[in-house]
Amino acid sequence: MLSAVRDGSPGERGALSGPAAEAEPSIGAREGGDEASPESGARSKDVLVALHGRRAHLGALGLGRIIAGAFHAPLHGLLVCSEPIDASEVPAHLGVAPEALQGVVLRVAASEDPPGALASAVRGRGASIVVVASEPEELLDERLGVGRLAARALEAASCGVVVIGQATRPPSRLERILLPLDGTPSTAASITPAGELARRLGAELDIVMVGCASPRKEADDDAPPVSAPAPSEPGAMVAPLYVDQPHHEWPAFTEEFLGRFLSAIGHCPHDVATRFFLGKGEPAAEILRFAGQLASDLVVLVWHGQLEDHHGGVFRDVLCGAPCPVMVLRR
Amino acid sequence: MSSLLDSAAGPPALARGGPGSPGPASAPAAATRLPAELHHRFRFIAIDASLLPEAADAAAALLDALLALGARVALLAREGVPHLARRLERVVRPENRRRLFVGALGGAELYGFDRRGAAVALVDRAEPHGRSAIAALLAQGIAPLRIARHDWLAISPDPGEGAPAADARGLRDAPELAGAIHATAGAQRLGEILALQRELDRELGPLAAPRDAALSIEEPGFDVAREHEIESLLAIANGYLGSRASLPEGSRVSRPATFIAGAFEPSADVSRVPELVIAPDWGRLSVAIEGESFSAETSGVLHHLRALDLRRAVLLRECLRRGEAGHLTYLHTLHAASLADRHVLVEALSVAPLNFTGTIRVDAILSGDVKSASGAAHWERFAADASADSLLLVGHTRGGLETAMTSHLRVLPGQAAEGSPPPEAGEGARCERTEGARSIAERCDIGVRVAEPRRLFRTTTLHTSRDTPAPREAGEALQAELSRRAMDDVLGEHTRAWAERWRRADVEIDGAPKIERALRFALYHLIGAANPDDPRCSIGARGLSGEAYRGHVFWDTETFLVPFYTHCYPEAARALLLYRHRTLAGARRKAKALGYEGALYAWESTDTGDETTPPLVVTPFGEVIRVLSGEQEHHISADVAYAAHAYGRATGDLDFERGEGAEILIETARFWASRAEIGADGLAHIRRVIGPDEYHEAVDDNAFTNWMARYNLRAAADVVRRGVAGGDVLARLDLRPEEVDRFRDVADRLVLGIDPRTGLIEQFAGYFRLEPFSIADYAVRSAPIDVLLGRERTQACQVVKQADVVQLLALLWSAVPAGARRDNFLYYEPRTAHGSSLSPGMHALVAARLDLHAHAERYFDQTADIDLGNTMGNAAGGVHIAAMGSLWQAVAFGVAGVTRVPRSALAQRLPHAPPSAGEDEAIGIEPHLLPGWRHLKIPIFWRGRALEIHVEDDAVEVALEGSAPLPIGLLDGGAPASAVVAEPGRRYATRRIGGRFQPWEEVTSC
Repeated sequence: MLSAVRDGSPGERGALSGPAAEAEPSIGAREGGDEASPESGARSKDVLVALHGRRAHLGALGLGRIIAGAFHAPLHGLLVCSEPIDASEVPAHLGVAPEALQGVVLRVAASEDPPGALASAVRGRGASIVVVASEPEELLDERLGVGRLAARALEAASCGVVVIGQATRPPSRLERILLPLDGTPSTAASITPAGELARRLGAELDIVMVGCASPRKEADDDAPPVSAPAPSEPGAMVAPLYVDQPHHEWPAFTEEFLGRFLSAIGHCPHDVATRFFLGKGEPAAEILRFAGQLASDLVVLVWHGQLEDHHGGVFRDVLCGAPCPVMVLRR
Repeated sequence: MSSLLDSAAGPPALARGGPGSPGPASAPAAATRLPAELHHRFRFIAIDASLLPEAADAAAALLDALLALGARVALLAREGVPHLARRLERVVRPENRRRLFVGALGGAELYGFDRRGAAVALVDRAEPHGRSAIAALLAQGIAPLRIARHDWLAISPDPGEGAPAADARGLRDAPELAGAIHATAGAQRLGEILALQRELDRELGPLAAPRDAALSIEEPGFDVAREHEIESLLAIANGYLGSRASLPEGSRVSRPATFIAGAFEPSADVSRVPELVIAPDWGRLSVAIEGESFSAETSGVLHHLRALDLRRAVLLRECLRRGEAGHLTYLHTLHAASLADRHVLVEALSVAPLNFTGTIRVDAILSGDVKSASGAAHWERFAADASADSLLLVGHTRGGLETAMTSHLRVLPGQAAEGSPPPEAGEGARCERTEGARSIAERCDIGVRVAEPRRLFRTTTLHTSRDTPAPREAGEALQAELSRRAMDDVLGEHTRAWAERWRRADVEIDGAPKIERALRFALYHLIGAANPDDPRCSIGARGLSGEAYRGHVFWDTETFLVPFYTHCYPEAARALLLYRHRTLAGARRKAKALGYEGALYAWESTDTGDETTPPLVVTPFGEVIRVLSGEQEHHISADVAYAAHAYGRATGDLDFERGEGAEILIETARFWASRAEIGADGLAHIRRVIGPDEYHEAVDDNAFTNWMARYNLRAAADVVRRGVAGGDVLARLDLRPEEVDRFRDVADRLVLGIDPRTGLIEQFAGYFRLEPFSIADYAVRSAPIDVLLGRERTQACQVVKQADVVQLLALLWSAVPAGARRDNFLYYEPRTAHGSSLSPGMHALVAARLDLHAHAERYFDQTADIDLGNTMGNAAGGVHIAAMGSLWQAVAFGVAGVTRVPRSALAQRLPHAPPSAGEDEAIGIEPHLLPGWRHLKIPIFWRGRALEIHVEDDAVEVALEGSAPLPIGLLDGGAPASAVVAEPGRRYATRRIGGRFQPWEEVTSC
């Protein structure tokens, strides 16, 4: 199943040695590099959990605790309700004992438009991770296919938003993080925050890239007999067009791919164990298949904020269908 | 390409040559007054031709000189284009006119110059598509060479100095030239501009990147995502060693490696298969300017360019950087692996402080702190010696190889001393040495003065215990000799060695600049990968440019590379084939281990010839599956035999044919004779093999394998029958007549798979019954087809990984019935996924021979793009050298149609030809020039003679060098059309008139 390349231990294959390697900047130095990363809130001040519904908040709280614990960050709980209540009334409002919310800084926002209020709160808080769960009976947002509260948070946030779907059972631990990449530097920019999250959690990072094929356009008589898709951005990389000898080519490709994306374009901490997988076919279905097969605890996606004109289809389908929570990083 | 001032790089006031800048003492005073943006080495210069009458002879002479530097020049005239073109025939030397164009300003008419220097219309005035001459020129001659717009210069007349009427369209108005630097000039100023261009080249000397884009590969900037690919593409090599083009100062992604051809050590993988030894790193000449380390990665870099000069085989680099404190410095570097002495590596550095006088620090390092990609540290120990005359680092690998590297750094006192042996250190330089457990370094603090370039020159030597019992002594002696020689001398010797190789190999294609450039890139790597002096090693799948494939040798070498060497570098071809002879013992062991006789070559071979194919592979899906090619891909034995036989026939190397060649042929034939099974049908079958189409494993009667085995068996029988094989060889091999009879019998019985009804050759038994497949449905893909289809479906359908039957057509053209060739190509081509880089070139070759022009053009294009296109990382592990060989073959055997012809077939055309002992074959030429290709020139070595073949539309011309006459046949439609016994020192031409080639005629000049 796996095509593992880095085991997270020092001196992994392909590592530079000698002065060139010694000159390599530290992870911290790299993070200040020229490639903008999606905001994960990995080093933000707090983790914000949306407290709503009778059940959903419990899953969100659990996940929020894991993430906040990993980053040693304060955990805030925000209850959005139509009537103003005191923070001390929140446990009763949610139907839990105060101990169930131990360690959570409680806040209340009164509004007739809970999704809007959450969005406003998320927008106003700057860089932090937001965790939102959808109640099973909650109305779905048609565009994004998740609960309206989560949808508004996704649209409003510039930070990372973790969405727990209606049918998703939140994990008790985050041990396996699935990171789909399409070979572009844009999505590769998610490696830095995802890698940092994995490092903090002691989790394994599973990277998946999905290959597919399409016919040549009939009018394109001058096109080469076979070709890779035109790269959408400089530095993009897909699986090799030529695999002269698979037993040489695949290890070399995997090393180059991971080297390029984990160390050059993105910066994944070296002590994070990574595995690389190449999928085939329809990307969303394949990502979901991998998430199930690898028993992923979290899927990390990059979203450019668009859903029109055939954009964002893979994002939406994975977000809706993921068997585990999905962390969305905005570009 | 850049001058000391990049137009986008820095403030003109700080740049040398700009307004207010003093400029070098040697530069023409007028030139230094020119605007800063003109102090740039342009590669394409468009000139309003109305300037020429005023500029007259002086400008014409400068124009000629500029063309000689490699720039492309276009003269744009409002009228009289044909007249101007003819006029230029008188003032520009013929060899320079190839880069000269004359076009209509505001019109479509465009002229170039043919190989004879005569003006030819590239675009007729009457052509209806309406594209301007400038647009046509850019599309045909500039864009395919990837000349960047900032390297374009357009020169228009000064307003008021005889400039055309205000409403006349000028170069400034041409939208096609947007992005170019525009200048205005009168007669005098034009001369100054052109003189400055020449002067800029002179100032840089050997550190100047070539202007001729057809002879260089350029990589601007620094991109972490592409760095590994660039390190491969721009690698330097001389057949003994190869060095990746890593940045000398390193970067966070650099993967420097210098490979020693033929030296292997175990990898750190589970399989422990051998891999090429990574030599100590020599290419580190790092610089600190006023205490600040210089790096291409840092934000202060204003300009960075690496260029591979294909003609001189030097890697050049230019970089302009502003330090944190504002120090502006221009750096130029040069790296080369000497072809004159393969143990020598050369490095040069020029540092020009543009706005300060101060100190630079240069570190020259030999470092044994290297690891392979598999993680293996091949080196057990090092001993450094800083007390010797030069730096010395002696290393021992775990496998017992000893190497000695020496390094000698000279600080040249100034440009004036370039031509003579310099002292050990120039004035103002202070050097000291340091040694560590695995490295040794020399550090020089050097005083520099504003606007005065300072040069350093370093020679490094590498010897191993494979070459000499005393590597250290050999290295020290060579370094001592080098230290007495000037940089120009050492570099000049290297350049001359390459010039000789280019003279024997260079191909010119008028009308297809992209293919011509790709082919020269291929020739560069092909020449650099071979060592005619060392038969102990061969060429791995990535040459000496990268670690992928670990330096293992496949059928690629004999099938895709040896044909090039046979005809352009026969000494190298011989060495490569001798490697196969030296590894016969390993091939015999493999055959025996599998229960066969004779020699079965390793699918992956290293130093001993034993099989080194890894037994397992982890697929991208995590499956661990067996690698069967080592067990089943047996056609390699026939491929080696074919190459050995073809080499002998083409070169007339009788010693080889009688000795090593015969032994290879006989031992491989023995293998096939034991490998084939006579079935109940009375036919010979070869079962459970893998053909070139590796998607289908364990197949019976793979056509390529069987046809090649038949060739092998017959060739072996033939060398015995004709008495070519030496008696000593036959005695040593204990070859008896009945065994030779069996060779013939098995050959005659082998299943060939031809459907008598359709003429189609079935790729293997049962192939026609597989699920139909069309590659058109998967033409654009982001994963290999076998990955997308899955293993099971791939094997159950007709998808073909790479040329298989088409490969058979390419190699055994004359053996396949003429009427079946086209049908087979058109049957298999739509089913072929080209999942291997070996495939497109063979399709280009066969399509060209079949005059399937559209197919041929597309496959030529695809082959040219394998490394030079946007391969998105495919070349990171090294260049695809077999694909490069296939590109040459597609031109030589496809377009030029070079082939062997039985002398008897030419008998009717050569009734008076004197008989020639041992020459029962002649060279045949069957031209298939592609549309748009106006002229192809290709040199071919044939039986001790050097032929220069020119193919034009409806004409073929040859020139012969050598000491004996040579029969040459011109084929048309596969049949001899005319023949001539060419005399050395003479030229002959034949022309097609009325659809038929006429008899050859002697011509006096090209």
